Amino acid sequence: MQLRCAAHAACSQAATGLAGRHRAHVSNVTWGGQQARYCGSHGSRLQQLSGGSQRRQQCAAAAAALDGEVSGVVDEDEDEEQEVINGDLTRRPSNSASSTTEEEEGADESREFVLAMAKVAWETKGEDILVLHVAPVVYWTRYFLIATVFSRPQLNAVLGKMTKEAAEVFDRRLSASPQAGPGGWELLDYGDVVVHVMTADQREYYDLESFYGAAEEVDLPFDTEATVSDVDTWSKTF
Amino acid sequence: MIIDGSRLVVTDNSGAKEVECIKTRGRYASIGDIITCSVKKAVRGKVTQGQVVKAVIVETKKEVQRKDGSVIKFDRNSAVLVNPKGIPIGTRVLGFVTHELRARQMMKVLSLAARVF
Repeated sequence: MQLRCAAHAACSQAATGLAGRHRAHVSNVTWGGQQARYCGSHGSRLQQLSGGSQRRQQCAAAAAALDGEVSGVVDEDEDEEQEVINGDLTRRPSNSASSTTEEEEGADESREFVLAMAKVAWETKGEDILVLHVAPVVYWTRYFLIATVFSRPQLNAVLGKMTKEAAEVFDRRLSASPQAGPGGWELLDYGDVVVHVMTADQREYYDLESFYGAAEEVDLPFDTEATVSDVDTWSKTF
Repeated sequence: MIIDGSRLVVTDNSGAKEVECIKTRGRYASIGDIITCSVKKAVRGKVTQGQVVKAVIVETKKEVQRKDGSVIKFDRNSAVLVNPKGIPIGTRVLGFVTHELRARQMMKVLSLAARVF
């Protein structure tokens, strides 16, 4: 039985019971009755002990918070099950039952929504507005919008305008509208679109751009270079 | 089912390696709950040994049930350190997180996680 973790050779040793020190790295995840062994440090699957990927797929499809991207067909999953998978766990194998046209329409709608939010951020003098198409990278959302603000009132303003725009134009409401807290990072979760509004410090600290470096940037329809912030180095009062 | 006294593995890069739960809300805590912990083992990082911190539970050995009928359980009990407002102290979450965190308004932790179930 070959067990491989792409990231860490020691994990494969641990999985076959050879190396004592790295045993803790192996994590057994049991989901939907199927057990799979993963490298606890890196998340790569080491081995799938039980068969039947179809039920797992159904659980995956039903359990997903939103309809993710259709990636691959059913045949792919059966092949994947046999061999060791070192791939990205956040990518779910899906049923081929989803219609691609519905999928595309949904994606277009999300794109329109995220670009509208980006415009709101730009109008409120947010800086470094970045829209990332993360659907190929993660399954739980489609687009990320990251914007930088410089003060708490500005943060409140951006959040207020975005929630208002979303509720009025797109009829998307949040259960609890966030207010700027002491941390300089607020998040709006619209399901297929996630908006991050952060201060420059927090943005640098968490560095989401490098974390989602695999995601492609979406071009914004407005010219962000044209706006020059008068207050370059305004230290926020958080 | 985390109780006072449970030891959890820390799966972020805050510097802590192991924490002990000292206070839960209610009797048991599960994935998505914020607990108060004491850092038992730490390496050089943002927290030190002996510090009292808050953490959100991300993996439990006790299975959690989902509305579609599936259950998920892990090999260990893990947590991610957060500040009292729910913002992660570390910058990356290693290991696994589940989307139960989404329902608990913990999207920040989810955004920093590489492996989401």
